Amino acid sequence: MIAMPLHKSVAIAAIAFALAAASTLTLNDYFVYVVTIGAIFATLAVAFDVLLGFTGYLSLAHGALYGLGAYACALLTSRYGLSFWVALPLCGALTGAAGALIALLAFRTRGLYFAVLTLGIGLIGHQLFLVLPNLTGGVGGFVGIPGPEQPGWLAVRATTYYALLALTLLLVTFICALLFVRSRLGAECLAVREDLTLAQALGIRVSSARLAAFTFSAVFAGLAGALFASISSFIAPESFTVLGTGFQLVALVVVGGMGTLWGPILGAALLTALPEGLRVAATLSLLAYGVLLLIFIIFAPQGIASLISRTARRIGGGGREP
Amino acid sequence: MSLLQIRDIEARFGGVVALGGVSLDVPEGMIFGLIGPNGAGKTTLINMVSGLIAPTAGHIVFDGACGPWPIAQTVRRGIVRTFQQTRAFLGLSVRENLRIATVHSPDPGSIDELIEACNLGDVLDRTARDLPYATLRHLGIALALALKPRLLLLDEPAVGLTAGEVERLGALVRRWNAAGITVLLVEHNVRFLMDVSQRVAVLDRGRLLFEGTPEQCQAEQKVIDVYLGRRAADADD
Repeated sequence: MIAMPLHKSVAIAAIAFALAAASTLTLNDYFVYVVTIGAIFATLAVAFDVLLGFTGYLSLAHGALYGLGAYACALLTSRYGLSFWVALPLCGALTGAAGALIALLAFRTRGLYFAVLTLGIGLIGHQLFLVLPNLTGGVGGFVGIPGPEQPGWLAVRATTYYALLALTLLLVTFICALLFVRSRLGAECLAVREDLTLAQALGIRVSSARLAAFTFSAVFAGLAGALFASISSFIAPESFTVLGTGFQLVALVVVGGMGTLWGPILGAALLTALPEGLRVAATLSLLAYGVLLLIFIIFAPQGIASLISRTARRIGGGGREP
Repeated sequence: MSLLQIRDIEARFGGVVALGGVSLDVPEGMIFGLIGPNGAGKTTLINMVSGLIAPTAGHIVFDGACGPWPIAQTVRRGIVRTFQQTRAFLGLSVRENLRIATVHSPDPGSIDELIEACNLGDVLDRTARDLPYATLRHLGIALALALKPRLLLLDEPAVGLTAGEVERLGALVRRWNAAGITVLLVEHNVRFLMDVSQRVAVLDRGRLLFEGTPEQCQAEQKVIDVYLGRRAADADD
């Protein structure tokens, strides 16, 4: 695998962002909403890929971290009257800190136990959203979350504005993730993923590398949650379950292509558009996720990203043949 | 003074004594060979010097400082090892492997030297998993060399190599040694070890049986009885 130069990756991401942003000006409200949700899930998936794809750890706690960001934003903006723009970084910091704590606990275990331990944390998180009605609204959900303040100079529909915010968050997350995985820490994360013993023997700072990866993914999961809460105006625990969001994330990243960053964006786009396009109920969409996950793990474990790059290489390689 | 002093190192796993109080001195700048039959404790010794496992008793003195230390610290002090079963980051390209190994290197230019020193120039963009066996072994050693060790621990680097590849490996080990790296070499291939090493120690059942020059070692009756003789007998079968 030859990595594309950084500036080229950023340029392609910026072009894709511009196209998606332009589309939100013309699409109807329903499709703009689909783009918004797709971008939020893509943000989650990119953050998740830093941990799963680049560091090799499967966390099932990320649905709860996403929820933590959402409820924190709901509380800060509605009960404490903070502006969304003040609440957003606070939510990122909070979930980052929570992620670091979870990581310190979870990395005491290895392999399967790591996944099981984070599963436990994901379940606890979801239960806390249910049993703390004073903070979260309990099973009835949190109602009346103020939307992000729209600047007067930006004369677009509110739905378009939300989509632009979600796409911007996705772009920022993608660039930050790109910088992270190409940094020294990112190289150390790869070493941890590939061979923990060898990494130790080469003096790689195993603990700090995977702590950084987990914290990074938690921060951006929290930011995605905060934005989701603010633009939805209503959130409920069912959006942050282990088998809902937690499992969907795994599906998005695996179907899109682990360890590529751009693959998970495609995965999110496909898996958000698919159930919407088919107009199926939420339970059926989870079924579709499960089936797709099975198909990809068996037939294309490297995901859509690898199918695309293999095809591109074949076309490119074929073109160069005399 | 010796760069590495091993003092009364003992390793017990439950009731089994893998090493029963071994002392060795490895002088700076030397290629020091360690042989012994299977189960003699050679790899255990390497594991302890490199900090992968802690000895149950004894000391390791490196460059005047008294250990043992955990593996992260031995690496920082300049002791780096390779593995018997070659370890490399198999899913990554050779280039990415070297980038990871040099991530803490103060001198990024050293990657080029390393590529040259380990003959990896032609395979930089190949995935490690797809490399020929001998090249993969070179990569494994290159990863260790990337850390610019003062003491390189080579655990059976010649296993599975053809005669020609062993010869090339010998030339490389001498070259790194000439560049100032002290080498502690554990090896089953006696001819290779005797050829490359300036000094040799023989372990048998967790104890030091003999230490001396390769010539003395090959002439020593008890070494022949325990190890070389057994080998010769095996070869006759």
